[in-house]
Amino acid sequence: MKEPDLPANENERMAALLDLKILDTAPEEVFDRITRLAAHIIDAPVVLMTFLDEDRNWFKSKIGVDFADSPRNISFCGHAIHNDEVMMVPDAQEDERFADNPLVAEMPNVRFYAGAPLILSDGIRLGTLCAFDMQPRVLSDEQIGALRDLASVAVDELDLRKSVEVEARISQELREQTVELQHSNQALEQYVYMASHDLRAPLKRLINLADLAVLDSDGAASGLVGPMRESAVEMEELVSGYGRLAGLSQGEASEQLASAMVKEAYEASGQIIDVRVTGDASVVCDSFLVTQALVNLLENAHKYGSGDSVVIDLTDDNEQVGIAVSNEVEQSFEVDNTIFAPFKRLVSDDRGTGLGLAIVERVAQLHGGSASASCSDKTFAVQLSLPKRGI
Amino acid sequence: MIQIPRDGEIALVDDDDLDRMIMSRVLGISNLENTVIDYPSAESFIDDLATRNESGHIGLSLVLMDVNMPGMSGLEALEHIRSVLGLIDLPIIVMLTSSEAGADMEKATQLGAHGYLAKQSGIDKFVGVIDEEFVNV
Repeated sequence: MKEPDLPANENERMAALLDLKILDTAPEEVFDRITRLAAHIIDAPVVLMTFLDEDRNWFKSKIGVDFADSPRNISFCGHAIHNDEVMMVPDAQEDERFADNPLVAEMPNVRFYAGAPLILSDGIRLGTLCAFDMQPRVLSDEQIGALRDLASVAVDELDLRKSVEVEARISQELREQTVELQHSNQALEQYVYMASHDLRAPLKRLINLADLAVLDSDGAASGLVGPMRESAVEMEELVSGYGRLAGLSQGEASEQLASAMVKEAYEASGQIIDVRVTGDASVVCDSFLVTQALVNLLENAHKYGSGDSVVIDLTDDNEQVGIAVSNEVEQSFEVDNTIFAPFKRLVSDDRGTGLGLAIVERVAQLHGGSASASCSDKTFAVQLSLPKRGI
Repeated sequence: MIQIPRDGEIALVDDDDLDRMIMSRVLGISNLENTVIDYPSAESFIDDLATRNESGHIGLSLVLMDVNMPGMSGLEALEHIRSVLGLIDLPIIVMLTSSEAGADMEKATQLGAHGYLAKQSGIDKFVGVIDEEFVNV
């Protein structure tokens, strides 16, 4: 007797078979229909749809037997999967590979075998659609063609299941990676937040010591210490801005009147620029964050705009609330959404932190909304779009 | 505004030498006329406070205590002063490095702090905050 050889890609073949999650599952009508048809066309007492597991030949669909599997090392199918076409054994007693096979030499005394390999579209050979008889016989060309066709129908179904399983696995992996990324992002932000917090203490000290140096020298030191202090102040703003950006997280959300938050931002910014408000809207949000975003926009308008006022349009279509802040500028300029990236500065040689708009966008995102910017006809506008009912 | 009797001292508890020096100078410039006595740790302050307590005369009008100190923290010291020494009325203000330490503020209030003070950047700003919060009586 000749034991079947293992395919060269046995490991890959087994992995694909396990991916399919079909071993040891219940019978299914879609496959039973195929074996019934095959039994009818070939007129054989035993028809099986098999999958070659590590050391057994397992039957997904079976006609004429009442056991679930048989050893792989004495299987006919182990040989059949090496063929591209139907493998036919007209009389096993006359075939040296099978003559002393226990299935042939003992009960049930198999004489005839025909097996069509189940070959997935990617070339993986999983098992067979096969027929047994206890009489020696041959199949007609039509019967061989039918067996091959029925095997193809089974393969179509298996291909479909494999792609579904692979897709599910990939999207699961993607989900896991996304979660992992979010965690490392959070860890990084936490780190930045703490670093910012720690750096602020010595900077405050430096600023205070600079003030004391000027005081103690009756102002004589101010020529050098003044700029030193300015640099420290700049650094503290930068460091605290970055810490704010990293530490932003949405707190309590409640229904807020947009015009009230504008008023608050106007007060908080130190009334640096006149504000004209049109329309109104109410939105479920963290008013502290949205007010902070508005303060940043007012400060930008004050620092970089050319007019002496900003216009804030409030809109509410019952789904989205729009807060558009626009101001005049000396000259129109090109704007794209990289404007919201941290440390992106619109004006070179500028003492800003490069974080103002990054914080604005982050605030919108934390509310499940978005921020966009545009510039035309010497008017620069930033539009916040927030879901009216929050997230 | 917290009323600070002129006749007592102000205790300044902070492990950072520079912060202590800066705060002393800020208090010197402010409208408060009290003498400032400073301690480099919560432990040294507690020791002195216990001695003062035994003598029957505390002699402190205000305690400014840093939250973040190695060894006994400002919050632990606060708890000790209120529950072990039983000095319920001694005005204690905790000092924070930054104003966003919300959890610390809440804890300090629960433990019986009279208020909190964020360390400021800029002497003018710092003095302004002190004069807004405290007045001599």
